Amino acid sequence: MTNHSPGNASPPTTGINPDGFMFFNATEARTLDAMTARIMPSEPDGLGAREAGVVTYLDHAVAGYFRDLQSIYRVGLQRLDSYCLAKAGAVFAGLSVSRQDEILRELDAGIDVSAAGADTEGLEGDSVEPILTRFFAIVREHTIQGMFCDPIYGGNRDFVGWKLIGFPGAQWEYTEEQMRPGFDATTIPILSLADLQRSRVFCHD
Amino acid sequence: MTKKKEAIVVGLGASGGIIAAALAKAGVKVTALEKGPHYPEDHFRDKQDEIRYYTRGALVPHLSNNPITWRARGSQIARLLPWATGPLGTTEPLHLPPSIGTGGGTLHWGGAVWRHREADFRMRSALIARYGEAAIPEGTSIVDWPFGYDELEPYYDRVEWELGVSGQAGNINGELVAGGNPFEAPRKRGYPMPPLRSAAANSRFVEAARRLGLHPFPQAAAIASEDYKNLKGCVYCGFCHGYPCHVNAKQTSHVTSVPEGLASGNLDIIPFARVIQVNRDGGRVKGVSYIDAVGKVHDIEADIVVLATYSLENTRLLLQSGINANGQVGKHFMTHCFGWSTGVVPEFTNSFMGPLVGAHVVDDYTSELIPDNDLGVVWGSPITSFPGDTQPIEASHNTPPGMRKWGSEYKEWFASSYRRIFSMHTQTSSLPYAGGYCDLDPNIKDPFGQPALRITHDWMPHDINSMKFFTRVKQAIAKEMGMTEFWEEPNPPPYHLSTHEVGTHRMGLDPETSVVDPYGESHECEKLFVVGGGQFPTLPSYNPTMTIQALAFLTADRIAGKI
Repeated sequence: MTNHSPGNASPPTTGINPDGFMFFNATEARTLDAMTARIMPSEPDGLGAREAGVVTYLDHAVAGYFRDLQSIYRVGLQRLDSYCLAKAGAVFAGLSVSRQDEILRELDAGIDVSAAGADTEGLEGDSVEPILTRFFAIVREHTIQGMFCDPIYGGNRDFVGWKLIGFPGAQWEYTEEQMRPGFDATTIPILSLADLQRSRVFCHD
Repeated sequence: MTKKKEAIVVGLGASGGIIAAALAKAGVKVTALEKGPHYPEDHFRDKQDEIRYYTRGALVPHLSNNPITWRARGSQIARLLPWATGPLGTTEPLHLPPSIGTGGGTLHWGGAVWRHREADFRMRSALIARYGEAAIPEGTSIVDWPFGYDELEPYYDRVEWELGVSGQAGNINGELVAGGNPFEAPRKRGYPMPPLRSAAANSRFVEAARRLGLHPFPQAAAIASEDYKNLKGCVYCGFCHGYPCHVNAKQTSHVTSVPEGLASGNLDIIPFARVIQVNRDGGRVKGVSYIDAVGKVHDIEADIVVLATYSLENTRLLLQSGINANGQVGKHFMTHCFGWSTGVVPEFTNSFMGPLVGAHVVDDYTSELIPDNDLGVVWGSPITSFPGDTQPIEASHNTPPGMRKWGSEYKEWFASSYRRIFSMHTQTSSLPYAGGYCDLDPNIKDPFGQPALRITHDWMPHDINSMKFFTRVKQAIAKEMGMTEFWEEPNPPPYHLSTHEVGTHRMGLDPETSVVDPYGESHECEKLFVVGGGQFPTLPSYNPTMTIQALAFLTADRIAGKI
């Protein structure tokens, strides 16, 4: 159980995961760390993808549930660095944050893959752009998941994502008073699934 | 070896759960075949997990094992539902068929319940009376239902009182009741439980709607507002539509019906049983074939077979079994066109609290109540407040148009807005037309060698204009509510599956133009009952499940010899 209090999160990991990686190698993890830190920046409150451990979420997800996306991650990471080397003379993680933002804006300028009609073909396209666009869309989506998932999935470490938006997490119930207009939900202690499971053993079963 | 049974019920969802339990209680030996797991009543206690249930759709049938394809027009090659197979690896559970497992679609539904309007049972007659014969859009097959509201009223009453519904009556025996829906059809009595509490933003909706001269009333809900029979009172956790209920407040057939069936000693449930064919002996049903959890094929026989596997899978099984002599199976496909509109209110309203259906609705423009309009919209929709039940990842997808969905600006917007998000939605009736139908896909098979169901459907001008009409109304309400931002989802929507697919095994009295009779019995195959929303001759703009449940009670009475 942890109270909402912005700013007391873990120090940035810059891609080095103390728990280790199942799927990504160190170079890949460094690139993803740099990408996700631009998608959900740490500034100004210390509540970003780095603090939330989003790369750990990605690693767990891609090693397991999203194993079908392993190829797009592996190819996408390589192509991104090739693209950055050709365009900006350094791999993605080696660029300044403003240059990184420019690159990501270029990738994001493609199709809106969250809408219907998204390309469902394989990776055989010979143009770099569609693959990178698609890769970025996936990393963006998974960054959101890693920010706001229950910590049991490896992301949202120390409830960083939930603190950012004022969400109290896995609550068993809300009271009439809490449901009134203007109620400040950050006064509710944040709970995770694991908290709920532990408390239920004693309280509800 | 073939085993002889009295009755086989395929699927234990909204209708199958009711029918299996009712028959078992009436002394019929029932074997229920469920494609998903068997969930006992106390299975779900830790469901506050958006990744599991929303992002990864843990309850719904996934396309890898249960492929469905779609194309807009008959000249195209269909592909797996493109809105559910994007490259993101996400599964939007509300744009796939409903949940499987004991409880079926009632595991994850939002629990909005409606008795259809009197006019909804006679859409064709009502349109002709108001606009003349020419108003029936060309190429549509709009018909009246084979019975009216009065015939179904006792069954609506049974759903409300046997299963449990919370709500506020608006019209009891013709007397208007303050606080309820002034436009509802007369009911014999009120609801067994009072309305649910609402998340905070709902009060702004109610006040604004009243100032605009509209008549908001609490949505009737298949969620207990207090302990009732097998249900416990809702605790407003906010993980509701798309999720199973952790306290059994949601009216789900694995809580309301199936346990009583099991207690009778006459109900045997076989989970992970994938039915692949209905077998018959001439004009009479003989049994079914299914694949069990370890891949073994079984043939079982019974005097009565009930297919209750959702409109789409019912249709696929009929076609795969060759039960379609008159060519009507799969025709008249209809689905709801949702109009979601979202905005941000000034104060914290905590959009993650409470159930979807803890909310008010405006019925002033529903169905035949729609006013004459310049867009040619002839059948209207309720407008529903959506103040809660929105978890972070779901909310993160719905941002103002033009906003980049990453970076500092996005982060700041989401951090400051998430607790103040408010939505409204409409769901307009699509019309049955010749170009909207289901058949077997000639190209795509499931891993068990069975053909996928293919949907051919496109949004028609009436759908698009309906959304336009209601956007105007919602914008007026949003302005009156003092919302600081307000935007619409795309029109027409990118999906063609809303979990409200109906009509594809239409009921009617004429064996030439319909598939089943008003009790759900196949015209072509005696003692085969094909039940659910697939029976609907037209699709009202109200949510279909309560009518599906009422029809299930009707079918159960018929099979048990009570009618």
